[in-house]
Amino acid sequence: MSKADSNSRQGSYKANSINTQDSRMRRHEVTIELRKSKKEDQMFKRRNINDEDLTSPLKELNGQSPVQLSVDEIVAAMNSEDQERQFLGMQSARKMLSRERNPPIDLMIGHGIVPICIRFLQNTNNSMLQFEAAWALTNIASGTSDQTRCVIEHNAVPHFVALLQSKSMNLAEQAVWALGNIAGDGAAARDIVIHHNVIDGILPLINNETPLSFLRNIVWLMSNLCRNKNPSPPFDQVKRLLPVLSQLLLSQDIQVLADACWALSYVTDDDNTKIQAVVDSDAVPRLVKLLQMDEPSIIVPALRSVGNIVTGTDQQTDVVIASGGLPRLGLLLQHNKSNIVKEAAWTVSNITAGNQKQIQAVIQAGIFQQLRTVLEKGDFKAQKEAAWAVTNTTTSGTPEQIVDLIEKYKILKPFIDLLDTKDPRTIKVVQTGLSNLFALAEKLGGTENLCLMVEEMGGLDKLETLQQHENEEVYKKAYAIIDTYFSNGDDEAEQELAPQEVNGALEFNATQPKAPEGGYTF
Amino acid sequence: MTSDIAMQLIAILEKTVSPDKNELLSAKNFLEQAAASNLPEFLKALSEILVNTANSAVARMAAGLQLKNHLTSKDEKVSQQYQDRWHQFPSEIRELIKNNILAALGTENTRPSCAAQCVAYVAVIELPINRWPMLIQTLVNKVVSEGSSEMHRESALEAIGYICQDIRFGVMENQSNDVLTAIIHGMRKVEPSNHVRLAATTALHNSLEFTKSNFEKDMERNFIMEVVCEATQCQDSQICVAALQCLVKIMTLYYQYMEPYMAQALFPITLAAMKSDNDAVALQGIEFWSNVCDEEIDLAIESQEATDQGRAPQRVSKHYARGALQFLTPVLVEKLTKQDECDDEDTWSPAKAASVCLMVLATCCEDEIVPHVLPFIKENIESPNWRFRDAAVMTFGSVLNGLETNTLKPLVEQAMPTLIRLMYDSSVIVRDTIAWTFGRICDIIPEAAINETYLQTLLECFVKSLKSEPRVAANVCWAFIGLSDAAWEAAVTNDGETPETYALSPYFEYIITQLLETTDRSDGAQANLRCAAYQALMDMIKNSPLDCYLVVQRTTLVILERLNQVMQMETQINNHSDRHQFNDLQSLLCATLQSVLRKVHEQDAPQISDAIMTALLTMFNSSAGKSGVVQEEAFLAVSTLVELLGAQFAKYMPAFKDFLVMGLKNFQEYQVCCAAVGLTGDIFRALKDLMVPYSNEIMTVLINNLTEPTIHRTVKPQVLSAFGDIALSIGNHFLPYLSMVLDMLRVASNLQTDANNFDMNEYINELRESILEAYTGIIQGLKGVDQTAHTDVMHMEPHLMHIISFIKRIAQEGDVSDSMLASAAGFIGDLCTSFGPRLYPLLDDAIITQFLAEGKRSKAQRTKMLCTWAVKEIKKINTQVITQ
Repeated sequence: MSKADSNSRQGSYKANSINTQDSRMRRHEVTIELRKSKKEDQMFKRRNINDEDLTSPLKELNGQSPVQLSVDEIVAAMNSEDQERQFLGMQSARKMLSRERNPPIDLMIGHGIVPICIRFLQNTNNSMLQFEAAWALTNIASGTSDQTRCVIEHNAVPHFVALLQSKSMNLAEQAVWALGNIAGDGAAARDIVIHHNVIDGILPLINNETPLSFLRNIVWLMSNLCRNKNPSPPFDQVKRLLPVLSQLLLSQDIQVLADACWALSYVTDDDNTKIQAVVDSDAVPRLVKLLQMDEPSIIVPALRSVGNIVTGTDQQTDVVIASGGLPRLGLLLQHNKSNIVKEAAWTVSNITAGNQKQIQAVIQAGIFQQLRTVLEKGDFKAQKEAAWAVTNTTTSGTPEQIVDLIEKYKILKPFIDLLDTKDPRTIKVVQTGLSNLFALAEKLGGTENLCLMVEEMGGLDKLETLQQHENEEVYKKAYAIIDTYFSNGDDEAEQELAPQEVNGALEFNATQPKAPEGGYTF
Repeated sequence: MTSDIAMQLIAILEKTVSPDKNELLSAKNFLEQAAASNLPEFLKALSEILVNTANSAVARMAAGLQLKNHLTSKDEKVSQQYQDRWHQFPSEIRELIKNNILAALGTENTRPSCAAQCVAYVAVIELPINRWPMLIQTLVNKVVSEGSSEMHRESALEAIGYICQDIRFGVMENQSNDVLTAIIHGMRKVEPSNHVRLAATTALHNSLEFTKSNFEKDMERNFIMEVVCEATQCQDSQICVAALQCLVKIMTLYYQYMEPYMAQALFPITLAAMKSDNDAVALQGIEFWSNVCDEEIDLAIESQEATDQGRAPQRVSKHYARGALQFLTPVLVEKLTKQDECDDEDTWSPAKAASVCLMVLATCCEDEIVPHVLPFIKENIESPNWRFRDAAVMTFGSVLNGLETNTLKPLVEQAMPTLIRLMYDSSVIVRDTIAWTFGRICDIIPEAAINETYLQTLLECFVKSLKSEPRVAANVCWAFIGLSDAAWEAAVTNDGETPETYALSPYFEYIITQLLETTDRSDGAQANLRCAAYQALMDMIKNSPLDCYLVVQRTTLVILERLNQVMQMETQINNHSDRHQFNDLQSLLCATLQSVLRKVHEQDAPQISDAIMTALLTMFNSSAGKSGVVQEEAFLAVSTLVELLGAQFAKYMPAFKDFLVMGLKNFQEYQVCCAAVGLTGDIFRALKDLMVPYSNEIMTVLINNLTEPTIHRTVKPQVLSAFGDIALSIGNHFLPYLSMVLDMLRVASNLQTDANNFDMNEYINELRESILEAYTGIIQGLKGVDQTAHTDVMHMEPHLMHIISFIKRIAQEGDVSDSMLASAAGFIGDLCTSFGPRLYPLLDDAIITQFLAEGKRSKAQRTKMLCTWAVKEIKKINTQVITQ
């Protein structure tokens, strides 16, 4: 936040960029920048990089034109009546915008090429010109948000949507590329694209004949149409993509699968109506099936989608269970990539937050064995999710199920060990689980037994240490457990040690005047 | 202390205001000795003199001042020492002093109260460690008690004000209720004493930062606002100004709560203040609205960022500036006509503040400001009264930055003939304002200046104005910078390629000649003109197209000649200010040399390099060469020469080596050291194997630098990055240093980020990038240029696990810059090509896969390319694994 005092304002008065110190710094930055790019070049040259097939999204259609124009010449050519010059100008502009380092996007925008390109987009007599214009705009739209916005504000979107129907496949593909860049810029840009009926435009493009590279681009665009919140995309529109996306889950191509899964993960990351629509599209069994792929780039979004779905209603969760999701989750809990284990544990924790039948299904799938392993030697984030899974079970499970956790699956020791972590939130989760266990033990008359177990496993020592914890909730909870289950009598004295709330009201002196009615008097 | 000694001390204290210099000096010496011999007793004695109302006012005041000056200092380090010293006093003495100074509060009849300052600075030491717990309550009681005298109330509020101003953040928050109770009590309209009200209002200003919890409660905030607003209406202008200052600060700190007060109170109060004839009042009124604009500009940025990230902004703008625009602009332009005729750079006036306010208002409201200012500009730009002409131009120049190109361009083009005419105005103030306006036009919308209709006339008028008063000429230099940048940008077709010609080519030689003359003006020290002219010259050279090359070559010779001349002038330096100017000139010449050398064609370099290197070596040898700024610029000049000459620079190494090493060892002046380290990398990359004979000495100095505990931290990443250059350049000759360097890199790469420390994180990121550069240089140097990696690369094997976990840590911590991503991806690719399939198990990792996948979606082409390449290389070694 700028706190301008009159001193910094004085600096702004008739200010210019002439300042010995600043200009020296600027010069040095230039030197360092130049040095850096020289170094990069030197390192780059030693690498066997073939940039042709690495960078261009679509192959260059025309031979290299030897003519190089300045920006002014480009704009003049683009404004000319002569068709050949128009094309030459447009192509030079596109090439300039395609160059690897610092494409002069702002400069070109400043010279007003955006509206010209958009005019060229509509020139259906010259598809080469349309293509160059579309490519240039794609590059501009791939820039900063301001640059993308400039393309939107000049009303490019409806023209790109119109190009989706072009007979030239290249042109349609370029339009998809541009719309994907625009829609990917954020919620507002995305909704503009959607309101111009992009979905009507892309749905007919997908059929058995669609070339793979084109299909990949379309799916990427679809995922960008589903992406971003605040607000979420209009669901009556996005809903229409779901049957297609569900169908695409049967594809063989990794990129198509990954983007389709991402799209579904965005849709399911929302309220239950949207989850239901995904369930209704039959996507769940397919997503579950994808969980066994040996490809992290697919597992991650597929798992995210499944995880989102089980945050929904009991019926929605049941669909995942009925599709055979639990055994797959069990396997993923043993995956060698720790973030996949974490997400799987998170998913399981949302299932154990469900009803007792669902918990039973989790138990029967043998998942608590995997959870114990995660608790014992998983990555910290995975341990945290696994702790949630246990605590949720202790909240909603039947007494038999909960007893099983301890007696059959020996979950208590690794669970208690987590009290040693540094993260207070995890500690609180474990403490809640422990409180639930004690409450149950009290009901079943097994408090002493549980106390003994907890003490033997080192839990009492840990809880005692936690009474010194800097986090207020943690030490209160630790205190409460010890006080209720481990101490004999003399509670009264210790009660006083608990912190008291302090009243923080401002006390004005009694002689203060009352605020006049009807506002201020001056 | 016996009363005799006390009497003596009082007499001495009274002499601290003596008009007799000798008496003053002896008093000063006496007091210093007394402090040095037994400070606790001395301070105790002072406090006793302060509290005793029987002593003279002069003695009491001097005692208070002496005491205060032993409690605090403007120098933070000294202040800390004083605090530590205070803690070591015997506790009974501390308590005695505290009792005395607190008792003295309100018993003085001089203003401001010295006792209040003493109390405040003891409080600043003791409150953070919970000593003196009753103090605040005692002060509050002194303010609110029925029977408290005016002096008691005033001095207690002064003490509260000082405490709030200087205490560390986080100490006063718990006591904000008590403090506010006293302050608000003192500010009330019914308070009979204006002294008390002023002290209270000043204290409120100092307390605003830590009364957040009070501003969050409607009732309390309403009450505070009411009292402050009332105080702005006070007849006493000091109270009025202080209250307005409170409003300015409240607006920045608590913008989100101001809606209920805006229309009813804040707007009418501040608008009236702006119109006031009292400058101090008017300045606060203007400052209020400048602050509103700053705040709303920030909010607009925040809201844009939130939209871009697809979330709702945390706070929203209420667009007060837009709403008030039509009422503010007439007042502001009217203030612009009240220029101070003999303009003094250091005095701040409503006219100047109005110009700055218009600038932020334009940024905030953009095109909406145009209809509110245009009529005034049109009516007055040709007024016979210079004040109105100047105000009209100033208005025009001030709002330029806020307007959309489409609005701005026709406006400027339309005004161009009038503006050019005004460059010849009879008033120097008008000419200065118009030159500044042209500087802004060339900076903000150069397209309007570079066109066939006006360019030639404009350039003629600029060149003439270079001979005008220094401040006018300096602004013209600035305008040349804008023009040359824009003309160059419009002419460039391929990044990195110099265009054949550009719009300024026909005038280039003439402009350069005139600028060179301007750098030589005898009044060049005024208005920073010499520096401005050199800057314009450098910029013109930097942006020169091929058809101006002859002029660049000639300029190179001029600069070289001046460099030699200036060194001969050194003997004539008589004083400090001469020395300063001399050093400035030398570093400007070195800087200009860099810009011309960057343009010199490779084939022409050998003809001038001997002369240039001789001049630079002479400079390093002279005493001017000992100035840090000059050395730094000279090293940078050598860098550009190295870049130009390549391996041919080798012939200068025997003569230059000692100076390079001298620079590398100069870690006390870290900028010099940085320049030398950067240059070292450049030389190695250019000379390669030819540097082997010097490697030992240079590596030793660099390694020593890293082990030097006092070295400035900015040097360290540069040294690591230079290791990369050296390793890359000398290949297996780097082996003797390898294990030591790898160990250093391991230590450096273990440094952890800390989410709460932005500065530290920025540094760590810089360090990490340099570590990656070093590793990359080493691996590329060792593996050689052949298809199959040289076995030397195996020396890195023990570090591979660590290196890969380092990359993973970078990937996991998120917020990775594009260039870091690119460096990491390139390095991963190099690892693959050097170590092959055995590396696959380490690189087949979700974190790395995800990291590179993100990089493939980067908007920077190079990053995208390197990430794609790295992924391919990983795949390649995977297929090798399978086929094996």
